[in-house]
Amino acid sequence: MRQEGEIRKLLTEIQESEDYEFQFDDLAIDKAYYLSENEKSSIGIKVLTVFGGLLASLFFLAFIGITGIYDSGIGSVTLGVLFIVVAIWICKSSDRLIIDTICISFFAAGFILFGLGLDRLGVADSLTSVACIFFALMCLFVTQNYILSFVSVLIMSMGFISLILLNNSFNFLHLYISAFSIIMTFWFIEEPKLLTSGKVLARLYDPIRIGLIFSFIGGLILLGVKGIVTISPNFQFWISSIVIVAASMFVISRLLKLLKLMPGRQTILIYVLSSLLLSFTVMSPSISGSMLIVLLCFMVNYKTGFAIGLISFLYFVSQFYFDLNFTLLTKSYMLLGTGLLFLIIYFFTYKKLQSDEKV
Amino acid sequence: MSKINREDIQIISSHSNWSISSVEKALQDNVYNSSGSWKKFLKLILLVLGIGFSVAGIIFFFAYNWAHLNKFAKIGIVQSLIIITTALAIIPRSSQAMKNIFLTGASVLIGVLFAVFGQIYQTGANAFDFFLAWTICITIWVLVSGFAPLWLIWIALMNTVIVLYSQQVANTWRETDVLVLLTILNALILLSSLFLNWSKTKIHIWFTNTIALAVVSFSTIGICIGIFDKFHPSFAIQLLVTAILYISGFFYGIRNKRAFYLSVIPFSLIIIIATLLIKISDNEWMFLLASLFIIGSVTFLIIKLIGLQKTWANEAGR
Repeated sequence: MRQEGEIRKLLTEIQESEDYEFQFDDLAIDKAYYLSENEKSSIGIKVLTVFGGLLASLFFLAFIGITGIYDSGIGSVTLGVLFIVVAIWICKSSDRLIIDTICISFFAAGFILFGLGLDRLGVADSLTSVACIFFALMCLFVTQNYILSFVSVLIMSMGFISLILLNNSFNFLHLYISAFSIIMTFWFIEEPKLLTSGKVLARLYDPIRIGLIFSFIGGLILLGVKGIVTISPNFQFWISSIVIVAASMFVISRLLKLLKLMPGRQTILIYVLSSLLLSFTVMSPSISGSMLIVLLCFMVNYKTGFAIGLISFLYFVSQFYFDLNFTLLTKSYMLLGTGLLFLIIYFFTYKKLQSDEKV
Repeated sequence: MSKINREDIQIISSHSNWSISSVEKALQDNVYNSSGSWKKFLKLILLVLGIGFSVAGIIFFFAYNWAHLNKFAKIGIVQSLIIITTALAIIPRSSQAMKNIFLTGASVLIGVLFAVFGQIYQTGANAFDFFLAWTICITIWVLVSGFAPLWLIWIALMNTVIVLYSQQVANTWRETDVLVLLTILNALILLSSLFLNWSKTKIHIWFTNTIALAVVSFSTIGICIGIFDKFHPSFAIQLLVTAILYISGFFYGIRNKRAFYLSVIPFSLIIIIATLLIKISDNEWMFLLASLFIIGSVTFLIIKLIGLQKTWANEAGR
C-alpha cells in the first residue's frame, strides 16, 4: 500500500528524471490509488467472483429452463439481450468490486440465453457465433471492467472456435492460432506502448492479457488433443507452427536486447539451441505454443500466466507422447533422447550460467 | 529512484504524459526479470526437463516389457539407475535444489523397479500393493529431503493407495467412506505441515494451500454426494470432521491473515448449502432461490475479504 507521501515522492522523482515537462493529473492518480487500495482484488477474489458468478448463472439457467422460457425463441433472445445490457449498466454505474459477481451472472446467463434463443428461432449456427463475437467485442469496449472484459475476450474466442468446428473448417484453425500468437506476443512486448496509449487501453490491458492466454490455449487444445482436428486426415500441423516458431524467435531476439547481450558466440549459441528445440516441436504446435506463453510471461514477470503456461506445457507434452502411434519402446527412446539432450545442454551451459550469476 | 511496481506504472502512466521510453525503462528496471533470474530459471528448467523426460523414457522402456531383455538385465538397469541418481543426490558440491531434483528422480525410479519386479515374477499383487510398497520405500527420502514437489508426489501416492484399496480390496466401501478417509488423511498432512511451519520450519504457502484445497474439495464432494445419498454413518463422520476442520481453518485464517482459507472454506459452504436447497425441492423457484443465494453470499464474502485485506494492510503499514 502506498502512503500519500510516497506517491508524491515517486512523482517528483519521475519529474526530475525526465528531460521534458512531465505533467500528471494528481487528483486522478490519488483516486486510482484510493480505488486500488480499497478494492484491492487478489487473484483469489477474482477466481471467487468468476466461479461464484458462473455457478449462480447455471442455477439461474436451470430456473429459466424449467419455467419454459427457452421454448420461445424471441423470449430467450430478448431476455438474453436485456441481461447483457443490465450487466453492463450495473458495471458502468459503479467501480465497486462487490457487484462483479452479479454482473458476471447476468452477463454469462445473458449470452447463453441469447445463443439458445437464436438457435430456437432457426438462425444458422454460424450466424449465432458471429453475433456472439460482435456482441462480445462491443461489450469489451463499453464495459472496461476487469472481469467482464476478460469474459468478453473468452466469449469472442469461443465464438471463433465454434465457427471453425461447426463448419468443419479445420484449416482456419491455423489462422486462429497464428492470429492469437501474433496478438498475444504484441500485447506482451508492447506493454509500455499500450499502457501509455490512453486510459481505455491501460484499463483493459490486464484482463485482455489473461483472456488472450486462455483463448490461445483453447486453440492449442484443439490441436493438441487427438480426435478433435485429427479427424481431418490432411490436416497439416506444421502450418500453425510457422507463426508460433517465428513469434518465439522474435521474442528471443527481443529478450537478448533486453538483457543487453552483445551479438557474439553466446547469442549465436542461444539462437542455434532455441531453433533446434523449436524444430523438434514443429509437428506439435501445442507444445511450442505453450512454450511461447512461458517465455512471454517469464520475460515480463507475469506469475499467473507463467504458472498457466507451465501447466499447459506439461499437459501438452504428456498428451503428445500418449497419442503417438509408436510402440512404447520407440516412445521411450524418443523421451530418453529428449531428456538426454536437455541434460547435455544443462551440463554444457552449467559453468556459463554459474559464473555469470556471481557477477 | 524509489522501488516502483507494475501497479504504480499502470496508474501513473494512464494519468500523465509519461513517455513510452521512460515507461519501458521503468518496467525493465523494476518489473521484468533480470539476466540473473533468467540464468537461474534456465538452469532449473533444463535440469527438471532433462530428468523428467529421461525418467519418463525409462518408465516407457520398461512398460514395453521387452522380451529380448532378460530379467537380470531389466532389474539391473533400473537398480543401477537408482544407485546413480541417489549418488548424484548426495554429492556434497551440488546445490540443495539439484540434490532434491535427483532424489525426486530416484523416487520415481523406485516405482519403476517395483513394476519391473511384478512384471518379471508375475507376483499377482494388486495395483494397491504396488503403490503401497512404492510409498513406503520412498518415505525416508521424502522425510530427509523436505522437498515440496517430492512431498506432493508422496501425498498423491498415499491418496492413490486409499482409492485403489477401496476398489480392489475393500469392495464394500461406499464412495462417501473413501471421501471421509481422503479428507482425514489430507487434513492430517495439512495439520502437520502447519505445525511444522509454526515451529519455524519453512513450508511453502503454495504447498499448504494445495493440500488445503484437496481437503476442502474432498469434504465438499463428500457432503454433496451424502446429501443426495441414503443416510450412512460415514456421512455423519464427514459432517463432523468437516465442521471441526472448517471452524479451525476459519480461525487459523483470521489469526494468521491467510485470505486463502477465508475464501475456500466459505465457498465450499456456499456450494453445500446450494446443494441442500436443491435437495429440499427441485422446482423452478428453488433454483432461482439457490441462484440468488449464491450471488448474495459470494458478494457478502467478497465484501468481508476486501475489508479484512484492508485492515491487514493498515496493520502492516503501522
